[in-house]
Amino acid sequence: MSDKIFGIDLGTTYSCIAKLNEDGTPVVIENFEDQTDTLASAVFFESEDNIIVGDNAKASVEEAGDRVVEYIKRHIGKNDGWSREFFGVEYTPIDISAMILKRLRQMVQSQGDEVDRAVITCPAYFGIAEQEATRRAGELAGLEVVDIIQEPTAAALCYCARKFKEEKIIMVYDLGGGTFDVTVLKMWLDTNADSEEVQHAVVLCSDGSDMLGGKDWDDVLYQKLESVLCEENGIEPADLEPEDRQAIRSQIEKTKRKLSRADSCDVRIPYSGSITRITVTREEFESLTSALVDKTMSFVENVMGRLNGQEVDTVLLVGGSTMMPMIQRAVEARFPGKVQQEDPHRAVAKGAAIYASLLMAKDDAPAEAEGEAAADGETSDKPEGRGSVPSKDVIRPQLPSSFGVGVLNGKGDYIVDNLIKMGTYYDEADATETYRVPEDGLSHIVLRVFEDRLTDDEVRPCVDAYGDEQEFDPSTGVRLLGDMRVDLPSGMPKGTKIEVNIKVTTNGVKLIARNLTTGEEVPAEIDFKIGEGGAAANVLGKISGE
Amino acid sequence: MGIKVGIDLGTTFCAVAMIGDDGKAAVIPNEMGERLTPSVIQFFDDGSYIVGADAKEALDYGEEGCAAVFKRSMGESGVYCSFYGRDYTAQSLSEIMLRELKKQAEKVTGQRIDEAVVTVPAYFGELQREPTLRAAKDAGLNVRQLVSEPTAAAMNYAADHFRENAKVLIYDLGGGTFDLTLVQMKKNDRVDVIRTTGNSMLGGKNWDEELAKLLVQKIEEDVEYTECDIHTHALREAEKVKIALSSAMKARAHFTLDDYGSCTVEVTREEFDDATAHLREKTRGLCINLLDSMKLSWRDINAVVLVGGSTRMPQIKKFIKQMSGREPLSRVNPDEAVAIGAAIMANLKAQPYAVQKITNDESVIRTLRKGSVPAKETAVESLQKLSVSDVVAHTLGKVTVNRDGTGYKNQIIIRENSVIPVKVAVAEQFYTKDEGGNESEIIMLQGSSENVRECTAVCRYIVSGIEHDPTHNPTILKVQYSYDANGIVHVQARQGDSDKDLPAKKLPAPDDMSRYYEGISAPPAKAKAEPLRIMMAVDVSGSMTGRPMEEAKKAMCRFIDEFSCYPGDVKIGAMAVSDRTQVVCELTNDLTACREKVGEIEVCMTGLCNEADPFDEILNRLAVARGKKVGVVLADGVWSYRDKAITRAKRCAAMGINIIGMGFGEADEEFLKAISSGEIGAIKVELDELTPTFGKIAQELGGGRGGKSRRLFGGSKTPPTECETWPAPGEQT
Repeated sequence: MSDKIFGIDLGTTYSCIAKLNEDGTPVVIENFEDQTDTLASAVFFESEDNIIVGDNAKASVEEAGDRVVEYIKRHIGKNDGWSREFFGVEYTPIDISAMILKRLRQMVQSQGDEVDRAVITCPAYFGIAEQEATRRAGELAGLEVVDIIQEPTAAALCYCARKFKEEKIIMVYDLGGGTFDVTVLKMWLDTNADSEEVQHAVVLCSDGSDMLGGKDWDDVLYQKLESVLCEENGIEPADLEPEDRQAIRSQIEKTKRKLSRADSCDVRIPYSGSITRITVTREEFESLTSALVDKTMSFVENVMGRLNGQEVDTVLLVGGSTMMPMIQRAVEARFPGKVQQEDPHRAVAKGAAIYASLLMAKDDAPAEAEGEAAADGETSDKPEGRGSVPSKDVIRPQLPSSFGVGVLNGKGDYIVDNLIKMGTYYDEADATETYRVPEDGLSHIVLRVFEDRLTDDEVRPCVDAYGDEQEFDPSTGVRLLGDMRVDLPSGMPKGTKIEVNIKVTTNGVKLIARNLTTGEEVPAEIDFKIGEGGAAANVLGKISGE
Repeated sequence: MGIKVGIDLGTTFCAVAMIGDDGKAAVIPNEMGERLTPSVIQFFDDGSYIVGADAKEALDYGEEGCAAVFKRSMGESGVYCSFYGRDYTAQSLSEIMLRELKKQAEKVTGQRIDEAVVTVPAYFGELQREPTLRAAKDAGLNVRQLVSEPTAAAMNYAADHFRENAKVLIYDLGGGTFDLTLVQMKKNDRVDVIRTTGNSMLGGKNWDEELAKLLVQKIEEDVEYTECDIHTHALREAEKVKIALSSAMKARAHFTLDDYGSCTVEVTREEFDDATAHLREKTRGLCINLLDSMKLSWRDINAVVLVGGSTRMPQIKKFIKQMSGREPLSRVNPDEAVAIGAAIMANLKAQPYAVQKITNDESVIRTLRKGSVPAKETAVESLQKLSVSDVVAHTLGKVTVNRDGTGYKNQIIIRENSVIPVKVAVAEQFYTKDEGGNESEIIMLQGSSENVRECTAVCRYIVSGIEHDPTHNPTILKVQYSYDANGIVHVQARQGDSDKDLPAKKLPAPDDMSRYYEGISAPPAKAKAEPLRIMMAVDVSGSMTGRPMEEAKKAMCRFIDEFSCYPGDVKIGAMAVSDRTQVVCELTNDLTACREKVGEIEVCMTGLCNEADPFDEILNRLAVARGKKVGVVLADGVWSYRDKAITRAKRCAAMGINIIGMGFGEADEEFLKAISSGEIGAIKVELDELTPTFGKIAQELGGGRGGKSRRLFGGSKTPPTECETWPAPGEQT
């Protein structure tokens, strides 16, 4: 069993696995099969006995689209009911993700190494449920998931781990294949009690969309090529066969890459026995996609707005799509002289590997730490489920979301009182607040627990106090996690104090409601609906390449 | 300070690699960000061209002006292709590729390429390596070394997976060629290439061809008849289908036929595997031969390492597992292993580098992190320890006259699989003409057969400046073949004990080698020549004292030598005559003994004056002999009893004995003529010419073979024997 911890970037469109060399440099494991160092996050159920993961799966989209799964990251942990059946077996998002992870393991194994432990990255906007679902997928693939860290943090580590002591504000602009995220982090180095350097990285704020990514640029290019092809050949798009569409699709990637380096690109598309040549200029491509660039910049402005005037020291460009000159120009224009780009396809995986190595260094002294804590009598409440790393964390895990309870505010509006804000460290994710019963003679009150992505004290809930229920409001990101009922003895007057204690772990939220008058305590536990998985376990052996 | 790179100049793809600051070798992407550049060039009518992926696409779509797989024709004289009125050879096309690779690598890294190691297939001989070296130099590259591809791949593997005493088989199936190499890792980080073999016409392209045929066959099953030429289209689809079948169990290809419409055919992996089984079997044969030649079994092989893009096909992995009993290893990047190994070799004794400039390119290596271990020093240090030895791919020899003079053979000088650098020298007797201008022609042959017809004539050298020394004729001519580290052969020649090489001009091999094929195919025929009986008589009177006696003896020895390959029964005897006669050697087949006895002749051993004549003795011994009967008489003056001598000489003539009267100095020509009989008759020469004249006489009588060609090959008396070598060009003494 290898004790090396690998770093895995499980991306929406491409995944990547990296490890640290003996000399301390991160190195990405190559994908010899696809002649690249990333693995397309696409799974093709070719037959009952053969499952293909990678470029070849992606290439089958036009022809066998009903048996190809892509962009599964958009569904993992969302509990949106996504499931697909192939050859009589039901697969959930956790299953599909597990297959991609398994393929990564296979790739490494065929090169003579073993992957047993890994750190997997997640977008900054992933809530606890999504994070835990990712962990579950890793376990299903046979991995011990030592930790989950956020992608912008990983990218920032790759870029500047241990590079500077003073505090720096770093923005990570990550334009991937299927998602766009802009995150601002604060990073600094200090020395702990044992005179060891500890790298800190704290997410300040984050924004983005999982419906905006490189794929949208591809679609624009596809539309352009399709329309010219049809025009040249005197046909309508509806006349195109799947193989014709695949022929266009197969040119997109290289055309896009060529246009990042040259002013124009000649594309040859075979149709009806002859070759249609289409010239696309960079200028044209950029003008057709300028709206997409603007959209990303609007998210950037949102995030800048939340910094309360703080300046950004460096902007890191991450994700393959940031190779496009139009992106580099736009970001450079907004942050002149501050933009850095290094290995955008692989920075996240490498950062995860660096983080993994820092964890491994910590692993060398676990007994010591535990002994210490016990001796002091402190119960180092290890954040549950956050891996076997002692409290001397390099990166203290932070909550990716805020949690609060639904209450009436002073004006009588029903709001979510954000008791624990996102960014709070897990080991401090514990808050208590006292509320009043609003009216006389109520028989019970209902306490609802919400999760959201905002740092405001009060947030609009996704449900009415009395009205229609909705579990999730996409516009605000507010989600109803669950509720509990607190019975009131008859005759409780208005103003009776109820103390609510809320504690967040990776499994769920623990609530204790205490009637301060009677002393009665009502506990409740609300688990995160992570989603199940398991069908994958039976078919992992059918993944081609074993 | 610039960089040192490794360049894999492949049949279908090229790659350039260097060692980064982190001490790891990595491929430098081209301007388009790709790590592999297709070995395709497209020319346009104005003489301009494009290289790489765009050219390959043009080729795939059947456009004009494209050149590809020219590596297979390296070394062949003549034009490889012509476009728009311009001719291109394989060498000039390779030069274009290399120039473009150099340009792009320098642009992407922002650094100058100081030195390059360029790889060539192991089977490339002198004929192919030389033009490769020249193409690289003409492309502006300073080539440190030409290295065999399997050796480079072995270095890449060994750099990361060194295990002392491991025997590793490198199975390299590329786009155009198959190379099989057995490598042994020894103590002290040494990698020895033990044996290499392969098939230069077997590669992924062959699999594409078979698949294209299969596709066409399937189309024809669906579509009864079509006028369209679907082959190009099928080949293009075949490549895609082959890749798809590496993970899928079936794949589809689409065709649009002008007179039929669209047509889709499906191929299963099983069908593809079956259609290409014979190609796999070809590699099996080579594997078995290699193991057998080393008396090894599969159990002795520790690992089979896959190199070359075509080893991605699951059929190959399965095949190797079934054949060798173990899973083949994909430890190195199959497409890049050769370039990376070459980069490692380019840096084997290198100094640490200046810091690499970071470019925007995603795959460029990073700078060192401050505070971490200076990775580069240790990594380069460990790389430095690796040393490699490579072997010669082909046996080299030269055309020599065979032992019994019945024809020509290949005299092997350096055997294949000798470890390079290597040098071997052979020495042989060489007869010089006294008129000067002595030259020797060396025709270099490649092949392990002794039969010239089964070898390839590589080139020839004309060695000139051979000095003629009558006292040492034949002289010794030494020829040395040496292979340098690039696998390039050098030919040197020296005369005798000289410490200077003779001038040797290199010329192309003769177009028509057929005259060297004669005579070998038939088994050495037993004597067709008639029996020959020769009695030599030499004047040993006082006047012969000193030089005359020396020359006479030399001439007689020379004479005897000429008959050492006589295809028949020859007996020679010798006698001394002055006042008496003494037969020093009776007629004998043992020419060496006769020669020895001649050597023992001393002046005045039979008296000081010329009282006697040899003819009675000659008559006694030759009168009843079979075959041709000859008496050779050598005198420097006049004999006392002239008439008696003449009478006796005529009596010999009457008995069918030809008398050749040779004279020099004071010898009387009339007398000589009187005693001589037969075709040759009397000869009077200068003392200096005595030996060559005797040689000529011997040849006239049927000794030796021909005139000029014998001169050129330095005689057939003794086949060349190995002798001590001397410094080869560029070798440090």
